[in-house]
Amino acid sequence: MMENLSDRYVLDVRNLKVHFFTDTGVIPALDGVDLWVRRGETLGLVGESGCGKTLTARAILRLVPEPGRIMDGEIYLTGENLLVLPEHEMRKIRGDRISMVFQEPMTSLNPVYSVGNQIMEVLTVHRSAMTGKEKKERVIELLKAAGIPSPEQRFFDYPRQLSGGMRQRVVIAMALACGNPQLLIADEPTTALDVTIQAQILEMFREIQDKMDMSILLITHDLGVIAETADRVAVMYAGTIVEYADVVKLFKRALHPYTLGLLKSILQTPQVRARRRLHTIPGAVPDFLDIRNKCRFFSRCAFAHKNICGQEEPEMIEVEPGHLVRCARVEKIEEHRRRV
Amino acid sequence: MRSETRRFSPICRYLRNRLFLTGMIILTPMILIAVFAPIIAPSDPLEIDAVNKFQTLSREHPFGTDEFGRDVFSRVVHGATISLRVGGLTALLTAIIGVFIGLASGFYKLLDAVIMRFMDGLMIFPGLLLGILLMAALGPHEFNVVLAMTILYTPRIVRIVRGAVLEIKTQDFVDAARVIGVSNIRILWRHILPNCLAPLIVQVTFGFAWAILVESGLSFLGLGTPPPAPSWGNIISDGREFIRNAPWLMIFPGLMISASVLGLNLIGDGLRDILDPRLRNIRSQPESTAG
Ligand SMILES: Nc1ncnc2c1ncn2[C@@H]1O[C@H](COP(=O)(O)OP(=O)(O)OP(=O)(O)O)[C@@H](O)[C@H]1O
Ligand SMILES: [Mg+2]
Repeated sequence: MMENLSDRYVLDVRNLKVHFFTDTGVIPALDGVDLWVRRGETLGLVGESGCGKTLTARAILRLVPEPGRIMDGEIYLTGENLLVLPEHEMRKIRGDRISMVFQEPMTSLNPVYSVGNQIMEVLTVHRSAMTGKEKKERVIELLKAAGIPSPEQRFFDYPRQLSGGMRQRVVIAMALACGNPQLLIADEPTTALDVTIQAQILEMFREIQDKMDMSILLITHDLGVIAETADRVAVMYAGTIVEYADVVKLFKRALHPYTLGLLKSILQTPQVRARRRLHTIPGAVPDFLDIRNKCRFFSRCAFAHKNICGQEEPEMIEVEPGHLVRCARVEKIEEHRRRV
Repeated sequence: MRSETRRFSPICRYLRNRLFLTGMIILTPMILIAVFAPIIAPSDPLEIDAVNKFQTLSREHPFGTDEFGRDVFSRVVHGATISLRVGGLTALLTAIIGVFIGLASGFYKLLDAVIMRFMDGLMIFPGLLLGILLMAALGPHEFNVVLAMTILYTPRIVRIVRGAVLEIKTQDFVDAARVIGVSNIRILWRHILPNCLAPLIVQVTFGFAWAILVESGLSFLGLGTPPPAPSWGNIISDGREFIRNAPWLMIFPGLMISASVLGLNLIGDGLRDILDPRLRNIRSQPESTAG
């Protein structure tokens, strides 16, 4: 799309394909994902369970789980294609230039080491010139910055001695240990936490981002979180991006029928809104094996037309600058919107 | 923020476990005897005294004397040194080798196929039979006994370690380590190995007991620690011809073997409960007992 401008973006993912080679066949779990994140902005990645959000994050770090393989595409980090780097170069990038925070703070820390020790490991790996004392001081600083009270004592605590919220703060401190990651990937960082803690953690992300001019890829189920934190949103469906827009625009003028479904499901049913989960679009994510030669959303779409949507996969179209939709029925949808 | 659970000091936790405590009460004197054998034994275990053959129990010879007039008490005491040394060394070697092979096997898929076939191959032989074969091939020497038993027991350690690695490597914290740029080797050593230690320690304790038994078995058949060294198996072996007239030749070393094996197995069971109650599937290996 923008060949020579790729370094304007901190992250620029193009046509990313990841296939799983299972005993029962090849699953194209990511089937041409395009994403880009500008400096200092937060891109929200939403979509229902199993659509490939976590896989996208892992593919960016080149840590696709077995039996998956990255088959095609390019991933540029500030203009540098990560997919052609040798593994040892890639290791230098992980944890330093790209950091990641997981959903489950309970299990993403090693039970046999104190939290201070674990954060120190990031420095051991990436800042080998630092002395033990410097590292320890830095870790205490990080714990403090992550909002952990009396960090000198918490340094020696084991993960099981901390609450979920505190652990997530430790994980965040770990993600920021090297100073200033260009990209922070947060995979449902607050899903496992209760609502007040969730708000605190999101607030912390915002502060860090302001201070460090860092880009964030925020993966979530929760459109509420998106509304509060994201600048731009990518909506994912069955292994591909179906809509990409500014957050305001997305809430005002979503165009893809799937996005409309997501928005409707949080606006209409209070129970779902309370749980903030997106389960109410009729039908289920299609089997990856039978979505060839038609729109992926075809079988669940209220606007689908057999001759248009059932014949080939629609292209991504730019309906206005910065707003892209993978749908062949945009006019029909606009018309429908005007009527209601 | 801090969890409320009271934490007992680690030693307390161990001593509160009955199995472990009983095992320790049995094993500690054994170890003391083994270490201080030269001080405890009243005479040289190899000293022949043709005049005082087959003496029954007396003040001077608490466990009597054997066909060469050697003091059985001294021999049993020194036997503790040999048997525990051979058993302990085997346990240590199997632990070290088993950890390396087990880690590699659990972590690297390609190696796994090869290694596990090889280990299965070793395990289909009945333990003592392969032991006899190995000893016949290696020749009689105390260290060869250790070597043969290490070859026999390592597959069990490999299995346990490999199983633990397979489970642990799928855990989130291993992924989290990858995400911060930790290399595979470092993940293995720093993140996976320490989490495998519980089942390893339990299995190694059972291995220790197993080795004491097998060493006695091999010695009894004349293929173990070469005589006249007074390993418990050798003392029994020497005494078997005279079981009617001089039963003490077999009873005392037999008791020592039973006691140390019992003690170690109790410790193993205790450790299993203390370290990780999920490890119920690890058991001592009665089917390969020999002797
Ligand atoms: N080990 C595997 N073998 C085969 N397919 C897999 C494997 N792991 C993931 N997948 C495929 O990848 C798809 C995407 O999974 P992913 O974890 O990225 O979903 P997600 O969007 O993060 O969902 P969630 O919201 O539940 O976290 C799954 O639907 C599945 O088809
Ligand atoms: Mg996920």
